[in-house]
Amino acid sequence: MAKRPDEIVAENIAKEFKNLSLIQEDEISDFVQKLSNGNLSIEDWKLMAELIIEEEGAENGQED
Amino acid sequence: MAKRIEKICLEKFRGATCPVEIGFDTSKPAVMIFGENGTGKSTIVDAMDFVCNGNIGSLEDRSIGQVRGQYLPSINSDSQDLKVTISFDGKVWEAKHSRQGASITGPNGRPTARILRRSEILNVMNAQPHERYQEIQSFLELPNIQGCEQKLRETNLNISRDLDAAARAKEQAIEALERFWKAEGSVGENHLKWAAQESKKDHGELQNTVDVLTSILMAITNAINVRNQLNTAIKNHEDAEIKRKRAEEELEKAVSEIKDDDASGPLITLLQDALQFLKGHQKTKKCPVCEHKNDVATLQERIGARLGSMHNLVKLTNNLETIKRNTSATVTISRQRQIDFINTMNILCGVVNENKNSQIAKLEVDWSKFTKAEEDGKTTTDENIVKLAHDALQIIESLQESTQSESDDVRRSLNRLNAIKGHFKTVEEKAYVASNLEKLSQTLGEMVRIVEQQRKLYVEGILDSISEEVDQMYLKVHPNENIGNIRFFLNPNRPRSLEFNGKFEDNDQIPPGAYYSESHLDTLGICIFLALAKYFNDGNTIVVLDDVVTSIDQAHMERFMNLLHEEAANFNQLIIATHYRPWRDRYRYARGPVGNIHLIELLHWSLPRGIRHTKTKISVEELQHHSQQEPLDRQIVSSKAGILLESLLDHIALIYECKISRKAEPYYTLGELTDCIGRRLRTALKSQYMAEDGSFIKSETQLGPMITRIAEMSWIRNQVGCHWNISGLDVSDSDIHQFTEATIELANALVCENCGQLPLKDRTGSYFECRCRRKRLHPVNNPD
Repeated sequence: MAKRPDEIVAENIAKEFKNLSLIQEDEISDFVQKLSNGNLSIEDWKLMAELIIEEEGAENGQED
Repeated sequence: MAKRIEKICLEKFRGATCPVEIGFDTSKPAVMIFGENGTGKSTIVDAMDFVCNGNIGSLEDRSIGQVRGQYLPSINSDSQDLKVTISFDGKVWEAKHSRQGASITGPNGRPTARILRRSEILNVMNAQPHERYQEIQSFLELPNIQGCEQKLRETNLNISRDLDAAARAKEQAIEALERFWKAEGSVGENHLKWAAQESKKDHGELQNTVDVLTSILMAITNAINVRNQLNTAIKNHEDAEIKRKRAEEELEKAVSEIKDDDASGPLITLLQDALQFLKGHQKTKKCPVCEHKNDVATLQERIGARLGSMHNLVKLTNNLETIKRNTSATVTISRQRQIDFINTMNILCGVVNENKNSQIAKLEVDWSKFTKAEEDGKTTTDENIVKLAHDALQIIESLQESTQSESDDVRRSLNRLNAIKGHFKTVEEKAYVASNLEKLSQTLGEMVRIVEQQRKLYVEGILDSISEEVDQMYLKVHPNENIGNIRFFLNPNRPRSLEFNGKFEDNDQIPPGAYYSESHLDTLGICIFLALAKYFNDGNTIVVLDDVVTSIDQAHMERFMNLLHEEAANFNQLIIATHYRPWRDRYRYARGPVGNIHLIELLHWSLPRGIRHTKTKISVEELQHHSQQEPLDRQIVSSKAGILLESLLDHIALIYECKISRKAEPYYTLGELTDCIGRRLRTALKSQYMAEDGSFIKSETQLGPMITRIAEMSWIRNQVGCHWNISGLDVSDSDIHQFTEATIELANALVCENCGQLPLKDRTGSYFECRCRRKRLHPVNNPD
């Protein structure tokens, strides 16, 4: 079955997010599904950004 | 095989006043419905729009009032009689007319009809950018992505607001610290460093002092209150004593004035008690005091009489009793207040003793006496101690104001230090919060950028693809004309605005509408329509062109037909409705791939008969048909054979550039066309019909002898088919049959059996070939 335009673009966005370390590999599938179905809320986006920062902080901490 | 419309049936739908069924040859990718104006072409196209898309078709654009759908039923017909049925890919859908529009029933998989009408071509070109966007809006918009993007933007906005608030709070705290710093004389390097130092100071000592002073002040206040209560109690007791003495004097005076020698307060009390006793002992038969026999009623009567004679005395006695009780109470209260006072002073002394630093503690008061009083218990009424307490409190009271002032000063210092600590803490906290929010905002901003970028890339990708498609199509129709390079783009300054530009001569990025001719705009509009239909083909797409060509020159017509046949492969079916006869006749005379198109011809329309149609006969079939009729119509057959022959020879003369006398108008006689094919060319001319894969020659025909033979008989067309003359009467039917057969033989040798087209293209440099490449014509160059 052909992919919906929303799905195509959601996958492209996830790919870019991955390239820029804005998402973890294991979160991509859930993210694409929610994004393509229009189900990402304000809280979801905020949590996602917070997790990224937390992750970065943890990595920097390890480096230190 | 592609899914195609097999047939469409119309009943009481616009021009279809009588039921009409039109079957389509599903083996062919294209259908041409040819008919002169007013024969029902638009009715058929509208019926497709109605049953496939639920639209009311061309009525949509007509100025016939708001309820245009009411004109869908044929004139003088009822709405409920209207019915359009379509068979597509073995399934059937039926559309009827309702108030809401089309009511369509049928299974899933209904065909999508993309219909371009003549009136709409310029609409595509001249539409405002936002209207053009609306046409393809459903394909460009990503509602779910856009919804999430909006939430993402809101998230980022919220974070930005929080960040602003944190920065503002931090700024305000810094400003407050600066004010404190300046008030303190701008000590140190700057206000923040000073505040950092101040914040490190322990405020416990100040807090302790404040607590001590507060507890002393509270104890003083409490002691004063209690002392006041004691004073009030003493005063009350004194007043009660005065009242008691006065009441006793009044009672004595009243007793002395009464004749009854026994009358006295105790007697009254005795009588009152006796009366009270008798009320509770109604069955008693004797006096409870002297025990003489007597009944209760008499006793009560007598006691009442005695008490009555001493009424005033009774009243005064009662009053005295009340006052005595009150006096007794004031004594109790006074004693209690004294105890309270001493205890309160004990507490005060305790507080003072615990805090030697206070100015009260430094007073020369023997606080130990209060401690002794405490040890004596709460019942002490030692007047000396009470006096001492009064004296002490008097001294302490004089220091209350200065103690309060001292407390206020210390409290202010404490508050100031707490404020500095609070502001400095705010600065540190908000700096931390702002730092986190800034990171969050940067991350969210990056996300917004990517989501927007990817959404736009997708849309731009579609537009680039469509632009490329349009340009390729347009160049096929208008090669080497220095136009084209069509590019669609979204106006970045206007949301939902689709614009396009193109090339004209050496100028790029010009609006085609400003420079292109009307016919160039027509073909551009058709190319745009085809490109959009192609891009957004949902697998069930049927493309319908409704009278989109009015007049077009030969070269462009040929290229346009080629384009349509090429593009037809991208759709399930291409349906062309036209009144343009030259277009239809190009197929009839094998100038187009008639094998790939089903030709339908609409007949004259009338109200009682409605829409009628028939199969369009190509010229060879028509000639065969007439030549087989009995009796033979000599003139018709000769004439038709001559016209077909002219068409075939004209094609040979054209592609081989045969030498022929130039005329003002390109009308050549049959003789001129046969004579221009020279001897060498006739010798070399041969046609080949190839196998489907082109691997071998299935049949080969030398054309020279055929042309020579036909040239010898061509006079028959003039003498029988065109003019009246005596010698024409001598021509036998057999001669006419031979002429006809030779013509048909030449047509069959030249026209491709598969696609029905004459060899036209020189793709290899060795021969001409038809559209499907199975019919070849040798040589490629004229040897004459």
